[in-house]
Parts: sequence; structure tokens; C-alpha cells
Amino acid sequence: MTQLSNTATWTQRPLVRMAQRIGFEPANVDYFVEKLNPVWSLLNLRATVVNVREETHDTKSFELQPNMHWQGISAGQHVGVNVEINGVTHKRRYSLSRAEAVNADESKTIQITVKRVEGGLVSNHLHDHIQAGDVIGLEAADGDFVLPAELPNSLLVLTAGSGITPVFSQVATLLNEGYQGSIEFLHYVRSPADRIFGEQLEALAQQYSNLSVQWCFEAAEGQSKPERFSAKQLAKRVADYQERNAMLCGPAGFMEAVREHWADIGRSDALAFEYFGAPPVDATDAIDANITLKTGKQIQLNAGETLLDSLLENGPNLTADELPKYGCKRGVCHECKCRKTSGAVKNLLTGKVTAGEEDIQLCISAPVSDVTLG
Amino acid sequence: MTKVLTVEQANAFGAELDAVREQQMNNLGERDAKHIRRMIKIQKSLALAGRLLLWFGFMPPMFVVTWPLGVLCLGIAKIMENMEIGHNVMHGQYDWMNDPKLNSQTYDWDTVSDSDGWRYTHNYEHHTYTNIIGKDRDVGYGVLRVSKDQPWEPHHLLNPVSNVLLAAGFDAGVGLHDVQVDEFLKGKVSAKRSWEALKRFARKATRLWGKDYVLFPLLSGPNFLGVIAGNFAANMIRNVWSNMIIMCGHFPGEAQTYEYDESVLETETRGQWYVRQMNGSANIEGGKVFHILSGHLSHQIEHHLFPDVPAHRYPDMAPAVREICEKYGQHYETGPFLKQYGSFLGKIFKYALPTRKQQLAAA
Ligand SMILES: Cc1cc2nc3c(=O)[nH]c(=O)nc-3n(C[C@H](O)[C@H](O)[C@H](O)COP(=O)(O)OP(=O)(O)OC[C@H]3O[C@@H](n4cnc5c(N)ncnc54)[C@H](O)[C@@H]3O)c2cc1C
Repeated sequence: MTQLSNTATWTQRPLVRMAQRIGFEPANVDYFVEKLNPVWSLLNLRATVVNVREETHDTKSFELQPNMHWQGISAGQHVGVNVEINGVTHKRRYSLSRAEAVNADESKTIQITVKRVEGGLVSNHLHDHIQAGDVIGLEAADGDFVLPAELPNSLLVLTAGSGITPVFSQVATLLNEGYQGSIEFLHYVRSPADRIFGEQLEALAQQYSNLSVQWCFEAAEGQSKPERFSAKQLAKRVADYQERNAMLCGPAGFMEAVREHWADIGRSDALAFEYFGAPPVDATDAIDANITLKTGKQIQLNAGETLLDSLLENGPNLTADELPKYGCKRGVCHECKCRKTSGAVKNLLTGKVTAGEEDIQLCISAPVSDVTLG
Repeated sequence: MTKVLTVEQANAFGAELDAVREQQMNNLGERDAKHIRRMIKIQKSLALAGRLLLWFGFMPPMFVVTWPLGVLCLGIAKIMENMEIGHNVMHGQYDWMNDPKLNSQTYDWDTVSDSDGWRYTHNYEHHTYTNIIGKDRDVGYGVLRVSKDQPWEPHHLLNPVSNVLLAAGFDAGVGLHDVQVDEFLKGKVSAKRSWEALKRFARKATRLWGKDYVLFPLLSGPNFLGVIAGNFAANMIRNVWSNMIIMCGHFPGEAQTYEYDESVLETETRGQWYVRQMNGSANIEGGKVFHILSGHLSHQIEHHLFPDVPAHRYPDMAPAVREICEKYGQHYETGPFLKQYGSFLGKIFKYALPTRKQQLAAA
């Protein structure tokens, strides 16, 4: 079920709660507050876009000034960005892309960097329609892809595409804070023109002798064949890579290859990584699926069943909290509407398959992949 | 008279209606978002204006103007919130917008009926078992006799009086609907269930009546009584209006009621469900403002066929629905407000007395 994710804590104070019990409604007051200035809100985190900068031909950075609900962020973490496109609010996560940990009490800005994804809804909307002065919805910082309290002696960074953003902010923060260990930064990218933060990284390498930056291009002038990740390729670039603690971020395929190799050499625990999203699901037919409930409990669903059928069938094994609310079982009343946090389902009324985080009606949804309900 | 359809005919009828629905659902977007936000803007502005007029308009010469104007603004705001916004949002008509403020499962409407209880008794029970006697508790709301198929009981002699009382206290009536006092007395629902529902009602009523009869009057200081009276009058306007609209939804003219038969329901196809919904509902003709003030329940037929399509689209869908009904020989019950309400009132008087067959059986 959707919740106001940024509900302000002041509404929970005893006096305010008492007032709410006899009819005070913060949301009604907030309605008029945001009419005065769209970034103002008594309840919700939002931000004004203060600057938009072009990083490469397909990547832009957005500098954001959050409103008073901002709680701060650490390098490597990401924020939620909410934008409305054709009446629908879409939410995506974007990593902090600058070298600073902004504390809640500082009125500093934060920066995110967005690469256009071909056919992508939100990335292209941000590129084509969002300008300085606009207000966007934000969701609080989150993520555990952050620097450990105890820093390793030496680091290896492997990034590709827009995966550079969270790692760049961590490395820059480390260096600013006086980290003395050696950092080998390898970025896999299509061509020199596609390098996000190319100049900034080169400048950092000039300034700090313990940082070395290497670019691995698919194609570049004077390069005969593409340079892609492999154990051999990496050993050639960084001879002692197995001794280093590694950080990884990039497209799913690239990350799978790196993680497999780290597992092979028995160093999985020295590899920190973050995915930018699951690979696309292309199943169109109902399958046997694993359903994970919000409590973490898993149930098996047989192909052709709806999520509601399957949950009710498992009823005796489920707690009251895990059992769905439901009504008509025919897609009319919306009583069984539930948040799906991941996986793809087919709507049996429309035949449409949709994936990702969304609300679904359990009684007319048949999974076409494993599904997690929130 | 409406034609009785075979299963195949009903399914074909349903398939055509599905196509009408599909056509609308495929282009949900900006237009619908704009509509509901505009409604909210007008509603909130009217509510604010109404409250301010009632608060500050207590100077003697002004009073005769500001008080009635304040009541009118607030009354219309309450009507819009309950009908065009709350009722429709809670049906899931705007869930696709993914806006937490317009989410059917978390929206809390501005009337003393608890939202969770309402979603169950209205969205599920009433919209699934529409007009099935003994199953749809909206048939007569447990107090009125509106169809010859409802068994006559002595208290139905008071039908006309009950109708007036129900209209005046409609918010409380709807709020207490889920407590199911009548079913509890018959032993059909447990004391626990009724008690839980009553507690939820009490909590909600404290909040809303607290706002209208304590919080806002206190805030207004010397104009305490003026605000109480104004809020009461606004609630009354909302109650009577929404009651009259809703009574026109299923009871006028040839709108049908049904006998309950579990085995029939079990095997009912989507097409047959459409047929039942269609024949159990009645429309009211009117202009755009009238449709909005009725929450588009003036398009009750379209609403019962397509409860989760944004209601402002019903007028666009109606001609196609009507055409399909004609093609399949289905009666499309519609008429101007006075005719439809008059037809309902007629039944209120007529069915206050036992129907002849039952009189004979009793004798
Ligand atoms: C923790 C986290 C941090 C992130 N940080 C950043 C960041 O700093 N910068 C940034 O640009 N993006 C980042 N992303 C990705 C971002 O959230 C969006 O997924 C991305 O912008 C695409 O969204 P879209 O609406 O444009 O595409 P959608 O409309 O969602 O997708 C369109 C198509 O593109 C595919 N697709 C979706 N995402 C990707 C992707 N990342 N790579 C390749 N194909 C994709 C989809 O499967 C689909 O087929 C992050 C994601 C996560 C989970």
C-alpha cells in the first residue's frame, strides 16, 4: 500500500495529534501552503532545481535545493525523484554525484546526474523538460553502498556507464577527507565523448597522487578493438587487483561478469556493489513463481493462478497481517489492491504485462516472474 | 420491458461494453489528472471561503448576507468532496496516477462514515451484489421498502417518514450502515463485528463533528453559535442533496431488483454481471454542473458498469452504452431529476403498504 513516504514528524507530536482527533487536518492546511510556493510544504520533501549542467551529450547534472524536510545524505547514497508525466507520478532513484556529505542542518544543495536511457520515461523527461526553477518531488536518501567506517588500505573502482555517479562521489569525498591509500579507478565506457565526470576525475588525479584513473573504451581513436572487462584485461590494467577492496557499479550484465570473477577468486566479501535496477523481464506467459510477502515469507504460486488465489490457498499458513484484504474477486472493487515492489505481472482483464514497483489488483494479476509484495 | 438474454447474448453484450471501457482506459492521462485537481481546487476554495464567511461574518448588517453565503459555499464544498472527489477516488478511479493523495485505499473522505468500512460495504458488497435482495444492504438501506420483492414488515408503514429522517441524517445513516444493527438483531452478524464498526464510526464522528461543532466554533470566538448553526445547515444541505441523488440511482422506474441465488452468482459470467448491473441502475439527465454536483452518479448506469473509470468520462461513454443497450433490447432507465425522484417517492408510498400477494398469503 502506498504511504506518504515523507510524512513530517511534527504531525506526530502529542498536541498536534490531539488536534487531529478533533478535526485538524494538516493536509488541508498544506494544500494552501503549497499554493503560495510550490516547494513549500508542511508534509512533503521537495526540491527546487537550481542549476542544470550538461556533462556529456547524453548526461546532465541537476543541482537541487531541498526544502525543510531534508534529512541529509552520505556519499554513495541515492535519493528518490518523483516526476509527473501525463498525469502519472513516476519514481526513480538517483545517486548523489558530488563530493560531499550534506548534513541536515546545512542549507547546501545536492547534485544528481542522469544519463538518458533509450526509451526511458523519467531520464528523458528530466533531460527534456526540467529546468532551473522547477520543483520536483524528492524522497529521502537511502542506500548502504557507502564508505565503511574503517577504510581499507587500497581500493579498486570498477564502473561503467552512469554507474560512475555514486562511486565518483565516494572517491571524491575520500580524497577531500585526506585518504592516503592507493585508488585505482577503472571506468568502462563507449568512447571518450561518453565519459561522465571525465575532466573532474582527471583533475582529481592531478591533485592527488594516490588516485590513478584509467579509461577502458569500446571505441576510441587509435584503438583497434573494444576493451571490455575480463580477468585478463583487468590483470593487465591493475596487477595487484586481487589484493584491493573493490567497488562496483554499472549495467547489470557488466556487474554480473565482475561478480562472477570475484566469486571465482574467493574475494566476494571484498566487493561492494550497487545495482541500478533489475534487467528487463520479457516473459509474457504465466509461470510457476515465488511470491515474497512483506514479512519475508515465501509462497509458491502455480502457473495460471492469480496472486489472490494463491494467497488465499495458502491462507492457513499466513498470519492476519500477510493475508490480503479482498472483495469481489473480479477486478471491480479494488479492495485487494496491494503494492508490488518488484517482479512482473499480467493483468488478466487487459492482458497487459507490467513490471517494477506499482499498485496491482491481486485478483486479476497473474505473475510472469517472481514477485515481491510490499 | 427489458429483454432476457441468453448466456451467449449476455457475453456478447459484455464484450461490447468491455470495448467501450478499454477505449477510455487506454488514454487515461493529463486530462483526468487536470479534472480531479480542478475539482479539488474548487472544493477547497469553496470550503475555505465558506468557513471564513461563517467565522468573520457576524456583524449584524452583514450577517444576513455572509451567513447564507457561507452556508452555501460550505454545503457545496461538502457535496463536491463526498460525491465527485471522495466517492470516486475511493473507487480507484485515479489510482493509476500513483499520487498518494488520490489513492483509493488510503483516501479518507470528509463524512462521518469510516473509509475502510465504506470501501467494504460499498465498493465490494453493493457493487458486487447490486440490487440483490438480502445481499445488497443498499436496497432500502435497512429502513425503507422500495421494491415489491422486499418482504413487507409493519415498520414499512412509516416509509415516507423514515425517508425524510434518513435524508436529514444521511451522513450518520451511511456512517452507521456498516454497524449493521438490523443484521445484528437478526443474529446474522456478530456482536464483535458490529462493535468494531461502531468504534470506528465513533472515532470518525468525533473528528468530523468535533471540527464542525467544537474546533471551528471555538476558533471563531464570539460568533460561536453562528458557526455551529452554519456548519449544521451546510451538513444538512449535503445530506439532503446526496440522499436525493443516491435514491435516484437504483430505485426509480424500471430499475430491477434480484432474488439471491448463490449458485446463479457462482456461475455468473462477466457479461451476465454487466446485464445485472445495467438493469439495476438508473440515470438522471442534466447538465455539466449537475453531473459534477452528483459526483456523476447521475450516470449511475455507466458507474455500475465501469466503477473504476474516472467518472467525468461517463457522459462521453453514455451514448455508446445506450446504443449497445438498444441493440440488445436492454431498457436504459433515465429521465430528468424530478421524474426520477418522483418515481422513487411514488414507490416509497406504494410499498409502505403490503403488496396484494403478501396480504393474501398473510390472511
Ligand atoms: C540505487 C539506484 C541508483 C541509481 N542512480 C542513478 C544515477 O545516479 N544516474 C542515472 O542515470 N541512473 C541511476 N539509476 C537508474 C535510474 O533510477 C533509472 O532507472 C533510469 O534513469 C531509467 O529510468 P527511465 O524512467 O528513464 O527508464 P524506464 O522507463 O524505467 O525504462 C525504459 C527501459 O530501459 C531499461 N532500463 C531501465 N533502467 C536502465 C538502466 N539503468 N540501464 C539500462 N537500461 C535501463 C528498462 O528495463 C526499460 O526497458 C539508479 C537506480 C538505482 C536503483
